Amino acid sequence: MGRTIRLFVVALVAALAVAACGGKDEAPTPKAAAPNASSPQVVNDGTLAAGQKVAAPKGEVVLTVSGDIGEANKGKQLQLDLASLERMRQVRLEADEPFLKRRVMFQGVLLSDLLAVAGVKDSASTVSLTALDDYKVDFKVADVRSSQMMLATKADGKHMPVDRSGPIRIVFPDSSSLGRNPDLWIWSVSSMKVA
Amino acid sequence: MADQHRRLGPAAGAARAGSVDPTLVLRRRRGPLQLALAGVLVVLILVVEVLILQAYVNVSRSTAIFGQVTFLTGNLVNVQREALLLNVKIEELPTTHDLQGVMLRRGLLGNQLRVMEGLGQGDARVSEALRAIDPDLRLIDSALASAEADPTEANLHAQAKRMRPAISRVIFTIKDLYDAEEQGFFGALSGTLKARSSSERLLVGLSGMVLVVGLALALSLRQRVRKDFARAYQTLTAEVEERKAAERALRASEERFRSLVQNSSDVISIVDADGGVRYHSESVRRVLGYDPAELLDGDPITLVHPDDRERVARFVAEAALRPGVTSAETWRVRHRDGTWLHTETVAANLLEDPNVRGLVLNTRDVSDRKELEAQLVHQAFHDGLTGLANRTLFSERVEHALARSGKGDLAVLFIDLDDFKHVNDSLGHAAGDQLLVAAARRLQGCLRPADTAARLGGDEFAVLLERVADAEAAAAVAGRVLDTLHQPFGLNGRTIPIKASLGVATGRPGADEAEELLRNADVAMYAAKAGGKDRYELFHPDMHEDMLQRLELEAELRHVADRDQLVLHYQPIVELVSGRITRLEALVRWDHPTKGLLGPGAFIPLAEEQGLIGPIGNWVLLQACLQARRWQDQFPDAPPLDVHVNLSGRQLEDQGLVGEVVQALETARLAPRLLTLEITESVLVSDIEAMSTRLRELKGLGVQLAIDDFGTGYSSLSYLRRFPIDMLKIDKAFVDGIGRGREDTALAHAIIKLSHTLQLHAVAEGIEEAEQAANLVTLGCRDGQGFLFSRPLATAAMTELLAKSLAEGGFFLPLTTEPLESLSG
Repeated sequence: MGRTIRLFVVALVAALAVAACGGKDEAPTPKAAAPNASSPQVVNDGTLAAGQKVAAPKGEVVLTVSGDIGEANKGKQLQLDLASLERMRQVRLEADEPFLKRRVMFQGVLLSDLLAVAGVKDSASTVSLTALDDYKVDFKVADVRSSQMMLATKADGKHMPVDRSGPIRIVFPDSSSLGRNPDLWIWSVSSMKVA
Repeated sequence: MADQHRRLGPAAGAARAGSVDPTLVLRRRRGPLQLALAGVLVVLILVVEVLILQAYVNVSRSTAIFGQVTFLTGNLVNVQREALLLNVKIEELPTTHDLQGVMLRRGLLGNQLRVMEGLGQGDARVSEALRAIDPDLRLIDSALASAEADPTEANLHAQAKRMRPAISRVIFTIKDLYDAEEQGFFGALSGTLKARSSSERLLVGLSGMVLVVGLALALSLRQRVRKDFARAYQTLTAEVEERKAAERALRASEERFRSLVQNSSDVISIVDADGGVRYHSESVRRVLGYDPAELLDGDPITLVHPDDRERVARFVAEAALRPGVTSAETWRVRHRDGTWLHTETVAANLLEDPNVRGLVLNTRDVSDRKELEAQLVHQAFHDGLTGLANRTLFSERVEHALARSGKGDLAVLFIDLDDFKHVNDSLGHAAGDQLLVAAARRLQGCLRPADTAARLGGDEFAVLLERVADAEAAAAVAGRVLDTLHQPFGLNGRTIPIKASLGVATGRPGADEAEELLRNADVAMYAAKAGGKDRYELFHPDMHEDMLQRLELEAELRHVADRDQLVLHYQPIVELVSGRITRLEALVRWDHPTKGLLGPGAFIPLAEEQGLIGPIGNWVLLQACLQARRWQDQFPDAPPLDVHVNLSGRQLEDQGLVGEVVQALETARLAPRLLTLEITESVLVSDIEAMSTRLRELKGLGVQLAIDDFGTGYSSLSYLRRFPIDMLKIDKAFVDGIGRGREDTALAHAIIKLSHTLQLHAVAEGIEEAEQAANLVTLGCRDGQGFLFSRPLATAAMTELLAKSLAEGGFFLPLTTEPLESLSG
């Protein structure tokens, strides 16, 4: 008797649950990264590290950092050209490019390294990135550190022009959960504000 | 077996509610309907499950496509936006000269297009659109290169003008691509949905069926479950009710017990096994007068009568040894006021009962009952009227006395009051009772304390004398008893002497039987009665024989009248001077088959005693009248002869006597004056009033009345005047005296003179000698009878005598002188 009722209830609940799941048009989670996905590899430690003065850029300015920073070279802003960026510790990362849907070998600096060079204070919580086309993405400072997101200056060994998502763009390792959202892969980054 | 009963049905289950496990009721197997429904439900659910999984796969495929499309269309929007921004920059170029801005926009558009290419891999429309706009993009790039080379206003105008249609085409191409993508997507989507709708209808249908079947199953189960629960509930409540009822009953029984104990009229005591009293009920106050608490302090045995203490202790000890209830025992207990009560106690051994752990004694006061018992015993063994021992107790005493050895002889006196019946009949039963009480008191007064006086019934008394020396000593007591009784007894204003007949028998302890002794005394008493009353007789073995004969005679006497064993003899009464027969006295004889002819003295008193005189007397009366008639008929010429018939006292007491006389006279057609009825003097004195009435009635018939045996009775002669008497028959005793001496002759003379004075006809009886007859004539007595003239003769002989004498001149008898035996009536 008890068993019959229990069986019936279980079946009913299962049926309802399945029906509910089936009824909802739930987006499928994107497929995980390829098995050979790798984390950022250090290419060289560079010459520009945290605590060092960052000289004013000689070339074209690709990134202007402002807000809660301890290092500046133009007023309260820290202006960086590609050369400055490439003097910082360089890392390499192969990742799935979500728009082109192929693997690309990126090179650049870890955004966290950049924040350190810029003298971002511990109290800072948010990093706001703006692209040339005014596209804007906000990250939490903690996420920046934990996700090993990277500001790439090269793709497949070459600098990236604007029509190649350049000159600098944010990329994520395959393992990063943030990277699964393609909207966060902001390209043609031009400014960064720390708050 | 119990399990099966439970499964028989709710009725059986409910009836035995107390023993049913409710869970068993719920574990019963489901019915076939439920099983079928459950099976259908499971199949339906599996099918629905498969369909849902299939739909889910379809949907996820669709959503993947949808995601891609969304991604692509989003990118197309971006591309369009960049193209429009580029268009704006190109339009502004001639005025702003911002070639760098145009080139940045161109780069950003290029990047978006590159992304679109990546996203639209495999999409023909995307690659076609990219191919279509490629020349325009090259044109724009070349124009920009040209403008960079010659940044003059005119050239900028020219280049802007050159780029304008190209960028417009790019914008339109992208827009077209967007529209195409959108349309393609929705078309694909509707196809998918259409394909799904049929399977969804099936799914909905099946789900509906699942619901319906599930609902049916649920309802069916609910009903069953409800029923089961109702049954279980009923079972449980019944059980609870039963338990409650049992508790109530228990409580009621406890309360009842308590109230019984507290309100019982009996004393309830609880006693330990060692005899110590733990509890007395309140009723001890009422029954014994003690406070229950005060009684617990002392030793309870001190309340018991010293003679009973040992028995009480044994009673308690024995009750403690055995479970159960003892039989009732009685003993005496002292009331607080010092009196002794008889109590009856029953003990129940409840030592094992955890609630009691003791003996429960139930004691009640049975003093009243004991008294009643004693009273009943006394009543059973004593005569209610006189308070003397009754026959039962007397017999027991006699047996007891005989059983005691070596204490000397004992004697039994049987005493029967003489003529007690006369007292009872004439003075009433109250007077009779008074007489009996007086006799009893006098009897007791003659006895020693060890002797026993008893009333055996009626006017019969008995005395047991213990330790008498011999029969003479017993006889002395009997004489004393008679003397004591003789003393005049005042009753209703008259003085009546008590007379009695006594029988005395002696016995020896160890030798004689009580029954025999009593019978001997009885026989001796009868002998005394037969011997003339007012006397005692010592028992003699011969008396037994007499007694037996007497009893035999009694038995035969009952049928003497109807067995033609009676005969009449006749004795003539003659004129003394002439010897002429004037009258004939009828005298009854019993022609006994073995004993021969018996005179009236041998059986008339017995017949009177036994109440048999009626038929005999009537027979005599009738036969005498008939014979007188026959002689008249036989000797028509001779003067008619009077016939004399004797009447006994009992006959005179009988009210039917007058009727019998009338009937006899009528039957014989005899003139009443020819019948003379003879009555003994002693009969007349017993009840003068009644006799006077009866004699007047008889006299009224016209018959003559004679006093028989005159002179032997009491000397009061007043009755002679009061009764209508015609004749005196002078007793033989006086006749015998005539001529023997002066005094005797004078006595006879006086009687004859008396009869003359009262004008009564005198007849002398028992004349045996001629000299006597001559003297009587001289004294004035004219008539007489006796052997001198004729002895009583049988009818035939008498007839012969009459015929012979008549032939000689008229009933004259020759005077004879031969001596004759005494047979005179």
